[in-house]
Amino acid sequence: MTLIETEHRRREATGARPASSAQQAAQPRGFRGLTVASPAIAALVAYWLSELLPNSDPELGPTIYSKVLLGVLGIAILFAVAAWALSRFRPKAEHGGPLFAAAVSMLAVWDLATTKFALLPMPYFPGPGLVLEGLLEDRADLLESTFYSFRLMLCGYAAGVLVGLTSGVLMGWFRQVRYWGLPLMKFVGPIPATAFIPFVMVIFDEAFFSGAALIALAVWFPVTMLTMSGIANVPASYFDVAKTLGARRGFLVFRVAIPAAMPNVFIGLFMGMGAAFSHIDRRRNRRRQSGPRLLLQAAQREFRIRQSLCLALDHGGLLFRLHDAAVQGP
Amino acid sequence: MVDANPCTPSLPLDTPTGVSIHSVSKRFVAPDGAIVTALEGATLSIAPGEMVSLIGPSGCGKSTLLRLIAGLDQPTSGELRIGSQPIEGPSAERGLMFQDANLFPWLSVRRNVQAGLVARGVLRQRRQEVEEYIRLVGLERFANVYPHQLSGGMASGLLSPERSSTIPKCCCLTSRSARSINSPACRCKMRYFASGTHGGRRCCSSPTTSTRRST
Repeated sequence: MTLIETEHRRREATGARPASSAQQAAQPRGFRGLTVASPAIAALVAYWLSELLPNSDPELGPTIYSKVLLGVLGIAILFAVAAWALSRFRPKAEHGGPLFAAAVSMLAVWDLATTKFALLPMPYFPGPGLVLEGLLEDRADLLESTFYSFRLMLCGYAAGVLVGLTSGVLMGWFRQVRYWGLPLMKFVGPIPATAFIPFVMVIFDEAFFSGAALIALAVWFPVTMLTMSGIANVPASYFDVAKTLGARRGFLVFRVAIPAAMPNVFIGLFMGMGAAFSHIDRRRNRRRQSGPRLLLQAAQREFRIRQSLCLALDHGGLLFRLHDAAVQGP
Repeated sequence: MVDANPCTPSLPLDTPTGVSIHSVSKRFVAPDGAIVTALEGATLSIAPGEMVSLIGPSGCGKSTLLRLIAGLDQPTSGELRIGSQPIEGPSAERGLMFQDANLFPWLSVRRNVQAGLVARGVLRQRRQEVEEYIRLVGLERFANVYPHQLSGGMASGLLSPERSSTIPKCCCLTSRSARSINSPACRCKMRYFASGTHGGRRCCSSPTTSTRRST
């Protein structure tokens, strides 16, 4: 018997195994029924509260909220059944169940604090029913605004990330580039991108390009700084190992430095998304009176709190969901 | 006794060679501008198949000498040769086992083992050797897991010369990696790299601060 075999047998006998998540997942474990059923329970309670408790404002009629809750209840039941029936789906369901339940519970708490007990002052805090109705009523405007936002965000963010990654890698890898580039970064970076609006509008006459350039500028700084920092702080031992394996410069940059810097790069991308979101539509759209900011300004001007909230929910949620999907995968 | 069977995969063997170090000095410039002499006039010859332990107190230049042999640093003066060729830079023919496993955390075990072949663009021709090495270190069941999912002992089984899937002509062990020679996988690999089972074709050097560790 070889020593390796002996070692394996010892490990099996003593249970000395690595803390592998794959192994942990493979270990038999009881079906956590309450965890996967919790969204359905939360939806049922939320529906029950919505139907049984009277509204604080007697003039407020039935809203679409109850129907939406019934839909959520149906989805939650399907979720629980799928977790019970499909063993492959079960780990995901057990992981996501509490979050699903918490989201539904938040809806119920929101409904109680606004529509049912008016604990929060109206009309600044409309209930979920009113907001959902607002979403439905203004869906044409919201969809159009979302479309223009996405188009602008996509172009600006992609351009900012592309330039930021390139400049970050160059500054992180080449000392000379860092020598000349870092002072420029320190000088230009902290200045809000909106300060460059006049320059951007002069350079890009077209409103769309000026808006995209502004977003790209806002994204470029965090992406560059964090990529540079990530590349510059890759442990030297990784390069030593790669060199002794016969690696050349291309391998060192693209197969060692950039992958090792990815945690920093992802932070830069996330911060860049925040910057892009805060700069979205900060340009004068002279040809098309559409876009979330114009809609938001109109809503605020007319004191349409409900629509403002719809807009924020719609754009914020959707954009960050897309970002997560792009960065983390589906 | 260690069974030699799993330690003797049918991998291509390189030509016999030795390491000669002649009047090598290495000086570093400290941040305050002071000159630190790590090595002064080191002269050494390591024959093919010979195993040499470098013994000395901390800071006497043992690891510096290994880095010079590996080509990761250049000597301030003197000459290092492997066979008849001067050592001018890192090469896959001179393996260096670092103090830590230094596995790339973004790659699975299999891809870590493949890294050297990918770096030299020969993965397609020598893919079967990857599985052979994974089997050699006893990680067949863990080939697709990531380094953070391995225990420390398992990770140390993948110290860098093995990761190259190449039999180096010269294998340098840093002190901690030399200490881990007591682990079954490492003993197996050391026999594979440095013992007479391959006709004594390779030389091996390791530094240590005590004679007990060098045994």
